[in-house]
Amino acid sequence: MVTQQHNAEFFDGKSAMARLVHARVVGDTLVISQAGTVDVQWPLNSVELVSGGKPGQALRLKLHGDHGSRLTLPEGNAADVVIAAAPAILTGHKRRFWKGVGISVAVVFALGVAGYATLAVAPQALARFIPDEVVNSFADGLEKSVIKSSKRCDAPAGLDAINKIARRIVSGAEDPPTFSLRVFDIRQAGNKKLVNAFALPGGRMVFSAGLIENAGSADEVAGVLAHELGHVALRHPEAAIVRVYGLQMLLSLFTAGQGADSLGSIAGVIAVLRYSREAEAEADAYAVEVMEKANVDPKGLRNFFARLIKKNTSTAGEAKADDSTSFRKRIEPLTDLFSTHPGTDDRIARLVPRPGGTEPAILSDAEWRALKAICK
Amino acid sequence: MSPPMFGQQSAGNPPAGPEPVRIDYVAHPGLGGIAISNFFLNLITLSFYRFWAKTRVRRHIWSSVQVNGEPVEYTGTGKELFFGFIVIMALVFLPLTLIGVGLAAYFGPESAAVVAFQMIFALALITLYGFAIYRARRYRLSRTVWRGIRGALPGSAMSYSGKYFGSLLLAPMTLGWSTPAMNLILAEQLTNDMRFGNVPFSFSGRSGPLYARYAMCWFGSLLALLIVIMLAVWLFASGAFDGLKPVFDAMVSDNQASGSGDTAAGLAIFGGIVFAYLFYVAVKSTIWSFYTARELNVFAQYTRFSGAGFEFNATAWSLITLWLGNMALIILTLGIAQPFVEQRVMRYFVERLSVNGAVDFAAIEQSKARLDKRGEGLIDALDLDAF
Repeated sequence: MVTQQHNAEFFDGKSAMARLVHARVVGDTLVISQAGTVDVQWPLNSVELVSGGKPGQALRLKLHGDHGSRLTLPEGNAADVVIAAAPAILTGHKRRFWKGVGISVAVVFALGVAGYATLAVAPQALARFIPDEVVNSFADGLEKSVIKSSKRCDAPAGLDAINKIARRIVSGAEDPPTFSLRVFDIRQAGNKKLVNAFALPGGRMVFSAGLIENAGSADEVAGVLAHELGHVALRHPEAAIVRVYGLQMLLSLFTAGQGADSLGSIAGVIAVLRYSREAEAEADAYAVEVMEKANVDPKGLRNFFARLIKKNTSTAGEAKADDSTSFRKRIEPLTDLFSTHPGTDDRIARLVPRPGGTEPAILSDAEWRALKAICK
Repeated sequence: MSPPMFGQQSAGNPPAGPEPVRIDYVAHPGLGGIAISNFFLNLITLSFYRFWAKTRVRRHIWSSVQVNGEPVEYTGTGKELFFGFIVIMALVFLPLTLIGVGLAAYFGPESAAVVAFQMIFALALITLYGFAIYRARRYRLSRTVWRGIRGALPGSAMSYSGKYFGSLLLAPMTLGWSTPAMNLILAEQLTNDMRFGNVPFSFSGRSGPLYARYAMCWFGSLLALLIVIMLAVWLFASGAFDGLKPVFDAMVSDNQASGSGDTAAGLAIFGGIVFAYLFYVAVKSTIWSFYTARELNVFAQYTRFSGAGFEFNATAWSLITLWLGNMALIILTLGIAQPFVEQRVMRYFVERLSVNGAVDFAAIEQSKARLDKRGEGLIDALDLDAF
């Protein structure tokens, strides 16, 4: 039996008893032994630092994956030998640090991607799966915030006229969505007539009386209708609902459920109903295609926008606030036709007039007058 | 590789048998670097680094605690805390949020169904408090290792949760007088369930000795409240606030068109209210730290481990300075110094705790309690923290 000099303290992980042992490096193994008894062998590449390793500190080691055994080498020769044989022991905590940084940064990045997908890609794809009850409940709330206590315009002859326009537009659509169309005399602040049209979830289209009164021809009303039909067909309003849900879900992940306070708020939907530039362009493209197939002059939509811009610049001049943003500020927050993103000018430029040929009129003069009088 | 087979009484071992216990806090450098890097990493990761941040702080603070010269070790990992959080999010909060959003969409955001759901949601969260505290403590004990032996809390988190919920209900019903008795019941379970290795801690004692101090603090804070109210009434009556009345009326009736003078006066009123509230909180906290000190000392006396008893030397004044120092650290460093606050608290407890009697550590065997793979998800989600 060889008597060995004790140079380390060992805890075997089975009891809290301290044992004085001899520790030495043999090849790539740390051999821990006590006089006359069997050795414990730790592969050096699995040895981890518990604490110490700096001048003046004892070196405390453990075996990776072992919850109990601990070896303490006092500062000095034995500790130096172990570190020299396996210098990675001292840098293990750095690896652990960067792993933590890496995972947390990756999580934030993944959430960012999820957030982007929630806003950009997923809503369109998921929109078709929202149950009708949910769509209708949202549409009810939105309708209330758009219409408020406005008067419904339903002069029978006027309704006949606008239905005729709708039938003409639908005749150009390949797979027309179900929709309803109502006209309301919506007023803005100062009792000014609102000039706008909305596509709400569930195919509910709302036209303001001001829009019809401002239109110069049935083609213009048809153009706006085709544009709104584009939003309905492409499920843009339903996509907005998914966007609100998704945002709330993400929010609740960050705030641990406390974001649930703002459950399904109408304000949230209004905020995201401002369609993206792409959505507006899609609706325009849809409108042009449908109008061409229905033999309606696509210039109608173009003329309508042109008239609005002209009208706006003149009123802005009157108000002596002639900057380009005043128009956008004046219209309702839920601007559908004039969404903040695509400049109306851009959209007009994009609407190419049909080369040659005149289209049959949509409405007779009498019908057109009836439409203009829909609120009377 | 064969297991170690050292004899219990091998020649090379330190003398076995009961040894007296000394517990010290030996600070070592490095916490400042941890604090600063944690702060910035939390910032850039929108706080998702917090699991690893907490772990680094605990490793540092735990290793500064020495029992009989051997440092305590924290073996938890950031990943375990992170997965604890993910699991709670996926199993509890996300489904509940989905249900809530679904109800709001189906029945309307202000419908009775949504209001009822939100109330049940809030109530469910409160019943989870005790559960979260117990499970978090279990995780921390299981990750606390000394001489290769870990702690454990193998008892029932459900039963603790019930008691905790009971204490929350009883406190307002008894105007607070149930607090000493309920705190004792809670401490009793936490301590009796606690193990180091396979050896349990034990807690026995009655809440009677706490009540004299409790009564003193209860009537003291009532008196403080009355004085604050009387002071306010007297100031109103003497006309000290008369000059502010038109300003206040203007603020209430029209909060749009107010000049800068009104804004300044409004800020003065707001500042006055905040100051009065903070003053009241400070007075109340000061009064109640007399009770807290007493409770800490009494509960330590009621606690035993193996052959040892405990003594804790808390005083109201030391608790107040601890609290004030912590507040100052947080406010002056915008929260960067949070790890130092935790260090101060740990140091307070370690330095004021003494162990009398002796413990035969060689006879303590490793804990057989199951090691959870994750931890503290609930307590993180509920934003509670139990020390």
